[in-house]
This record gives sequence, structure tokens and C-alpha cells, in this order.
Amino acid sequence: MSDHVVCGADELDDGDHLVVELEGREIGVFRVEGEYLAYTNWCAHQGGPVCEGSLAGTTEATLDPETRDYDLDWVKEDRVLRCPWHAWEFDALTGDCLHSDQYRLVEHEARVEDGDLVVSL
Amino acid sequence: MATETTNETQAEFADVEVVDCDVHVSYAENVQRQVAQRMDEPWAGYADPEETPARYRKPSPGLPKPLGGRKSFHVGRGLPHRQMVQEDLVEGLGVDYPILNVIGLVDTLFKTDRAIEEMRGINDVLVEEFLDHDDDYRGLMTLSLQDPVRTAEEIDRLGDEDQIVGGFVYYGTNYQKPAGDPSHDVIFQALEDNDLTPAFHTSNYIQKATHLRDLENLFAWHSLALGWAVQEATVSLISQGVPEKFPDLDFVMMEGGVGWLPFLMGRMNREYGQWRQEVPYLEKSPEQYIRDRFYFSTQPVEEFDDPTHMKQVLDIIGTESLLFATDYPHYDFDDPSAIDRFLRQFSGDDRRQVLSGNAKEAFGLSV
Ligand code: FES
Repeated sequence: MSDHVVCGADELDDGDHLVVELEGREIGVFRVEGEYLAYTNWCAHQGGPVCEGSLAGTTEATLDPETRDYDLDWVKEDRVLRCPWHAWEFDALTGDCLHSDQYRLVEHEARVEDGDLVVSL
Repeated sequence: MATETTNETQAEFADVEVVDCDVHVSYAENVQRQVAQRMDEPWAGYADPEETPARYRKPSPGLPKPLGGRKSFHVGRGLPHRQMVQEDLVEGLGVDYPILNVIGLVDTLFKTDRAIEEMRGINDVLVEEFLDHDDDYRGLMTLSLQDPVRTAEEIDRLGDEDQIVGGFVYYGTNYQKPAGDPSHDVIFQALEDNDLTPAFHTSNYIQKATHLRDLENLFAWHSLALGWAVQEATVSLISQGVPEKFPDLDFVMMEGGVGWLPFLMGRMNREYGQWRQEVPYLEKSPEQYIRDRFYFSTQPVEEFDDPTHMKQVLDIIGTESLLFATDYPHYDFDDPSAIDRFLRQFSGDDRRQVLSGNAKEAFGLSV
């Protein structure tokens, strides 16, 4: 396990992310809802550069059992990462793929030490 | 149909019950007359063959020419219909429980009031002239999608007829919205309330898809049309979240064949990954909805140059999703042995499931 200082922790605001190269590997670092996270820049679908996608929100449905209508809400703003290749959605806070539990982002430990954002590979 | 062949076929099925999910009551003139007699004016006159010439009664697919020297597009022997079902299908082919429907083409009619009135007449004829005469017959009541509220009332009207086991939509015609359109929720609600199963039957000649309408001949058209309508129904129902809205309903797709199913499962899965945001109510993959909640009738079974390939296709689909159907008495019907030659390569239980067990589950048959 080796530690890498990526940037100052305060250089990332909530909803920001950037892709850096560490030990020859591309790693995306994220700040989501105050948490720091790091993922390999590789999409489980077809290997696309997932961390270069945008962070936005997504839709969530609630079924009204009386009317059998769906209410659609826009949720998780600045938290849902969309792969730039085929738009698969991942929850950047948990690494989960939104449409299938067979896939997820490849996660690495990220933490703040002495004001720096440190990623361990 | 030669008597020898039918006796052989019947012997093959002596050991197993056979439910035929797609048996048509021909909408012949005598049946049309019976329907018209149960309709109110002014619509009765439109439907009655004695009052209105055939070319004004319904849009016609114009079949006879492509069928060349054939006498009729029916394989039956021109007997009165009940006798035909009994002699050809039950005694001849070994079908124990025919599930009857009427292709009355109601959703090809641009007058909605007439479509609704004719739907009611057809359903009364199905019950009074067919189901009431044989305890082993079951029926699918005709449903029009043109006025969902009145169709829901029709479902409630006939909901406690024991031998009615589902609703029959002749699907893919010009005057219908896609199967899963929310305006149809009242129909699904009524079906769920009455323990009836929706069945979407392909409309093979009168379709809203212009890319099919423009094909050059019946060979081209029929190659695509049958599968197309039920694919559209399947995709629409899943894309509108209907299986989640109505957790007690299963969905039956009829006369589309099955060879395209592996394609559709994989294709919808792929689209779901890309467009999940549009359909956030889906709780699992489209493939899983198809496997868990949909049934597909086998006819017209695809015919590969290497017949063993069909077994491989059925392996992918899984026998639990398949319902046996003949489409009797139409010219493109399947003799039960056409599918049974593949089913015999599965276990005895799997074979029984396709020939009758799945149909009992799909339609809640108490036989
Ligand atoms: S590679 Fe990421 S969505 Fe296809």
C-alpha cells in the first residue's frame, strides 16, 4: 500500500472531481456530500473512462399505490457519476451502479491528512 | 387434415395434458351474425353480414391471393365451429383444454362506440355459444384499448364467468396506444381485481408500423409482423413499469414465436444501462421481468436449417416462460408435435410445464 498526496483537501468543493495519474494508473478523486472518495478511472461496462464523466443528479420513482401513478423526483444532485461512453450511472458516494448490483466502481481509500487529500493504492 | 396423422399425434400426447392457449373462434359470417344480434343499433347493422357487405364491415387483410390454390386460410374442414374444435383439435390433436379467443378485429374500427359494442357482443357469443357448451373449454374475453374505461367495465361485467380466464387484446392496430400506456391502467386494474390475465395477441396484417406496411409481399411482411407486435407490447409494458404497478398480474404474449426473445432480453438490458434515468421505477433488469412475469406462446415456432438450433434457443429462454399454442384453425398453425420434438429433449417435467403446467399458472386454470 502506498500513499499519495493528490491535492489540498480544500481545493475540492462538494460535487467536484478530478482525474490524476498515480503509479501509472488513472484515479478519479471526488468530494461528495463532504466525503472524499477515489475510484479507478475504468468502467465495468466496456472499460470507458468513467471518472471523466459528469456528476449530476438522477431520477427516483415513487409509486402511489392508490392511483398507480409514478411520481418522478430529481435526487442525489452532484452525486451521480455518468460514464462518458454509454451513460451508465454510478453513485459516487457508495460506488454502486444504479441499474445493477452486478457492477460497481473500483474503490480506493481516500482520506484527509494535515489538510491534504491522500489516496492509498 | 388426414385422420391418420391426427391419430398418431393424439397418441404422442396420451401421457400428458395439453392446454392450447391460442384457439381461434373464426369470425365467420355465422359468428358475426350472432354477435350482431347481441349488439344495439345503430352498430348492429354495421356488423351484420346480412345488412352490410363484407367490404364495409371490416378492413380486410386480403389473404386469398398469396395463398394460391388453397381453399381457405383455415386448416379446419369447414364444419360448424364447435364441432371443428371438438373433432380436429380435441379428438384429433389431443388437446385437452382449448383456450378460445375471437379475432373480431375490434381495434381496427375507427368508430370507438362500435368497437365497444362489438366487443360486448363478441364476449357474449364466446360465453353463450362456446364456453357454456363444454366444461373443458376456457376463454379469453376480447378487450378493446380504444376506450379503456368502458373496457374495464366490460371486464367487471364478465369477471365472475368461471371459464373466462383472461383478456385478449388483438394488438398492434392503428387505433391503439402502446400496451403500457398509463391510460390502460384501468384495464389492468380490472383484470387484477377479477383474477384475469392479459394476453396480447399479435395483429399480423393490420398494423400501425409503417415500416412493416411498406414491405413488398406477404413473405417479407409475415417474416417480421408476427414478432413485431408482441415485441412492442413487451417493451412498452416494461418501459411503463406496468409489472411493478400491478404486482399480481402476469403477461402473456401470443402468436409472435419465441426465437427473438434472447435478442430482446439482451437488447433491453443494454438500453436499460443507458437510459435507467427514464425508467427509475424498474427494480430489476428487463430480462428478469421477462423471465419472472411474462409468458410467450410458442407458435409459429421458428424453423432453422439445423433443427438442433431451436433447442439452444429454448435453453436460453427457459421452458418456464413458454406456453404451448396451435393457433388452430389458421393456416400457419403448429401441430403439437412441431414443438414437442424439441420439448422431448428436456426433462419430462419441463415438457409437461410447456404443454400445460405453465398455462395453468399463467391463467390460473383450475383443471
Ligand atoms: S464503458 Fe462506461 S458506460 Fe459503457
